[in-house]
Amino acid sequence: MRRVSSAELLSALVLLLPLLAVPWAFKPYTANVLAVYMIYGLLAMSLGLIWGGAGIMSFGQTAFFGIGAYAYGAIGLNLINRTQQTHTALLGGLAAAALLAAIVGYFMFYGRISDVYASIITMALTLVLFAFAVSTGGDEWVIGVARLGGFNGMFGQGESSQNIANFQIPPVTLWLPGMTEPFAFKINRESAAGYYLVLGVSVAVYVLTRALVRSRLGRVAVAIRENEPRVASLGYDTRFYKFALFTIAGAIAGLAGMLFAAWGRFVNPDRFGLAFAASTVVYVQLGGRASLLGGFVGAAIIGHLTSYLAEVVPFATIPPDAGPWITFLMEAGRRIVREAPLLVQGAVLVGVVLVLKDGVTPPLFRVLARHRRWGWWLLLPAVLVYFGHRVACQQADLCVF
Amino acid sequence: MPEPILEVSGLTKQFGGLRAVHLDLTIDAGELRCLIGPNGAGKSTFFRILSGGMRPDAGTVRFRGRDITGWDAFRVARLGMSIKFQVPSVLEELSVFENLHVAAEFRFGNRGGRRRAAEMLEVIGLTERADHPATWLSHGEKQWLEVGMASVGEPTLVLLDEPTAGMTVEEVKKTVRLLRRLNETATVIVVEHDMNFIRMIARRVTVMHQGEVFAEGSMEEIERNEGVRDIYLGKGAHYAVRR
Repeated sequence: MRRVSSAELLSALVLLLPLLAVPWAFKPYTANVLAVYMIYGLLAMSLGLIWGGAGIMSFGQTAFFGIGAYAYGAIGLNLINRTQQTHTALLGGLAAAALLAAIVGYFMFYGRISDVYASIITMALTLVLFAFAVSTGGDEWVIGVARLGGFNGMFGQGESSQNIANFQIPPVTLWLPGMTEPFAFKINRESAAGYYLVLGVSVAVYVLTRALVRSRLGRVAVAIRENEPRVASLGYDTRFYKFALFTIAGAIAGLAGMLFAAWGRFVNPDRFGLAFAASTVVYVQLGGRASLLGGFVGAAIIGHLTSYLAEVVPFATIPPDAGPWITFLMEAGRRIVREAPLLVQGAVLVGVVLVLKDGVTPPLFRVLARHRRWGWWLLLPAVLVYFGHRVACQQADLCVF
Repeated sequence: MPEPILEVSGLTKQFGGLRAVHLDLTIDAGELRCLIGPNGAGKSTFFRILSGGMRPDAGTVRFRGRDITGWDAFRVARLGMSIKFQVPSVLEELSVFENLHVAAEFRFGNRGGRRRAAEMLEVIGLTERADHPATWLSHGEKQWLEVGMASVGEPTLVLLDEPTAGMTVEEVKKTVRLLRRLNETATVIVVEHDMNFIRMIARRVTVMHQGEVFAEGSMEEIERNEGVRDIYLGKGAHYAVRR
């Protein structure tokens, strides 16, 4: 067990090194895309924490993500022009997500609702929030200067004299004591600060969550997953442990939601939607819920695959000298991918789960733990070669992503 | 005069028209009490009520002088009662050591729990399997592990539901040693079917039948009791209980 988990930690380090260099080696677009994968990964990690950790499959983990995003947006839009920073918005978004998770968790676990119903209740929660967010299109749905905006998503409206001016949710902006001017974490041609913020937060939350999993709370949660009556008969109030872990996972999802709102400077009801909720579950299942890295890996695989299929394959040219069969297959493949990338995504999930029911990371870590000698000498160059290839083809403008 | 540690009076559990449990029972501190009876006598149901897994329809349970009727399982456990369930219920995916550590951590904290868990590994003889997931253990080893989990927190009363089910003769002997050791510090109630095992450990035996206390006494008295033979072997069977 211990060796497997040290393999996980070292893998995280191996992945971190190239990620630190991304803004330097790639176009800002790549950093931007990777940042959103990490944000989804953080959300998936929070689901992995509660699902893998305590066996509670929170289908609607996106509810907390969305609440975090909306709360950050609403507070940020109202305060950014007055205070030039988003400290209150960050705290408010985190508190809103944690509070919602605590309330829902309290009724679920102290009401002794079985874990199967926990999935249904959280899914219902996110769908109720979706329905609510969609219905906020009217002029009356305004918090200060922030319009909830229904399907169109949240934006700020100018003060009475400048009605035309709409403005976006602010990026994470800090103005701490000792700083001469506020600093905004943006991702654009000039700045990769927003990317490093997402990376830094992801690493910090990963490290803290890892410590949490190894604390008494995490150990007891895993024991509850295995056999709840057994754990209760050892003296542990299992309701409290589930409640506490669920609330923490909700807060992490909310944090991811805030980063998302600050990253895209936008949030709309889709974050509460069924498709997003389901793909979060897919990330965790594909990456593996036994380790906290699984969510990040799953999000990166699906995200990469989706953008590759949507952007590269439809434009691939069929060689003129290709035979009729090759032409037919390529044409068919292009059409399938163009029309239904989600179909391909689903097929990949089913395929992986059929072969590796625990997802892709656990077998990888087991192999690395067993063959420590050559495992690293294989993984490290593989990661470097992959990134090197990406850099090379991007510099030569050969690949889109 | 030893103090009663557990007093059960008028305890009743009804499943539809079937009265599964209806009994009065007193256990003194330091006892090693055997609870026997044919299948369906209500032994396991009785244990589940005692340990907080099930609420009774009527009656009271007093444990260490406090009325614990209808308490949640974790509160009963905190008062010093632990249980080994009938079906081995260890934490399958966790290692043997982690199983004991979780059990010990509640009372002794992380470090103290580690030390106690390591000691308990020695006692139950699973030191070499400490890092194996519990799911790799044989049936008998799982039973020992669960006995270890039930006793590592230094409880005052331990309920053991069929601790030797499915064990070989050698394994049963080891379990007997384990029980004797456990009984030095805790009161123990054992539910068992295996008469040889009962003979090896028993001081006082209670026979349950159709949810009620049918007979109580030493093993010799119980074995001489014709009524007990009748409920085990059917009325009219006058040959001796299998030795």
